[in-house]
Amino acid sequence: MEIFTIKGLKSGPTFLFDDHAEFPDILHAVEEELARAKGFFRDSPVVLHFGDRTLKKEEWRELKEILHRERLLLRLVVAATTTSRDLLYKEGLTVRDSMLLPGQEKKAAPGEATNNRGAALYLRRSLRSGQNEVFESDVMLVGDINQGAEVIAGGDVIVFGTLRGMVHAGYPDNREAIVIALNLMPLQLRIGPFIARADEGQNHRRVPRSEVARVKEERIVIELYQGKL
Amino acid sequence: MSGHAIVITSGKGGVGKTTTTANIGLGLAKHGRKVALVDADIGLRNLDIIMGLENRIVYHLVDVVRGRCQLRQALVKDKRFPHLSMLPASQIDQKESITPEQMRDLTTQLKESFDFVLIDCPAGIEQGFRNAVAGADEAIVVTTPDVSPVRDADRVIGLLQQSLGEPQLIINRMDMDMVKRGEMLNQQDVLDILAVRLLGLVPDDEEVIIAGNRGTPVILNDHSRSGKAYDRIARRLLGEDVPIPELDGTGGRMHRLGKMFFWR
Repeated sequence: MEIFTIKGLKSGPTFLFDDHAEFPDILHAVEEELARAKGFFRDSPVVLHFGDRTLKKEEWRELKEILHRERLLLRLVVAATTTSRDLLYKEGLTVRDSMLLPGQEKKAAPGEATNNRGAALYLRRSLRSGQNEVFESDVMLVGDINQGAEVIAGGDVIVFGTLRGMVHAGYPDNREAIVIALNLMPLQLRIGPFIARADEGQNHRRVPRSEVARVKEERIVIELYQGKL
Repeated sequence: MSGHAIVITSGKGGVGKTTTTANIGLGLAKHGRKVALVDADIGLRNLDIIMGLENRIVYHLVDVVRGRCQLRQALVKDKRFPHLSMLPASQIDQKESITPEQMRDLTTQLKESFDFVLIDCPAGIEQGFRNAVAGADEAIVVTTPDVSPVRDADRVIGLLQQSLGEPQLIINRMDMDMVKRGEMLNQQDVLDILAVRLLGLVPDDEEVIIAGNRGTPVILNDHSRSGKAYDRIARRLLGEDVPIPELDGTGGRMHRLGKMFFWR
């Protein structure tokens, strides 16, 4: 493997860094590669994959400087070591410990709801207006999803916080998917091929209420969630 | 000794960025700090009018960046406080006339001679926003307690968190009577959504409009409620621990205690 490669994956352009290369060499390779790309990646959300590397604060700062200069947006950062993940968490980034790379990918059959669905995407931050997440399986988010934010998941979406934005669970046609939120108040909710709209004028709730949304008899039904499905 | 650069931004237009910039700037100057106000709204300049300095402009920001004049030649001294200056925007150029790098250099230069550099950001999240944010050390986001400005503020906060870090929030034009009648989002509703530190609340006040038209910002009026709110914001920026009165009323506190007991 080269010390730095860019792969076009489903999750977006993905920057892969060799675990064992010296960091200055990596920085050099990134700069060269981006110079060659002539602004191709400008304003596009990319994924950084650090593998098993333990990232130092200084190293991250230097890399960030380069990425900022090239105006790249960071969609997701993958790091296997806790030290790297902690560092990147504190930067407010979306961090995951692993990601399926080409060749490792396995397709989840639609309808396969309860087992064998691969790792979920775990996010510990809020999604603000204009931010979005797209993931092939379940998504678990500790934080809020605000109005104007979007989550599209192949499986379930669990929100430990207030859901005001748009969630599409079971994308594109998994009717078994569910959505749970500590405070479920989206303007619109989609599960598989179904769309539900909030009652107009009812989106002002003072006391939060945990609810679950799922498909029953060809439509989306929302029920109080009391710890049991 | 290097000063501190703060960008004042909102996403949505018309929520009071320029008014906020002018009032906080005058507030900091009143407390003896050396302050520079930068109008980064190239093509749509307004800060000069609010400050009542429009007839003193000779050069502007784009002139400085293009090397057509020295920075100190373009700075317009305030008529009330000699240690307060304004760098006006150009009215004929466009946002694309300058780059974030040039803006960063300019801000660095200003920070050498001023304690505070306040940058009045244009509305939107495009090039003008990127320029205004480029040189700043921190950000203040202004919103009104209405649904659409709050959503835009949320978007801007998301963008700022990727570059400058967590901004502080000013909620402008609070109408306490409307809040009491349940016709307006209250400060807690706004904070629940935006989840950032509240720097201040400014009450809705027609004095602000009169002041803007006269070029005498409301903070210069000792009897204005909104002027006092701006003064408290300026003092908070100076590190003073000034309570936010609307939040610390007895009613609010009792309510919060009650809630805590309930959860136990």
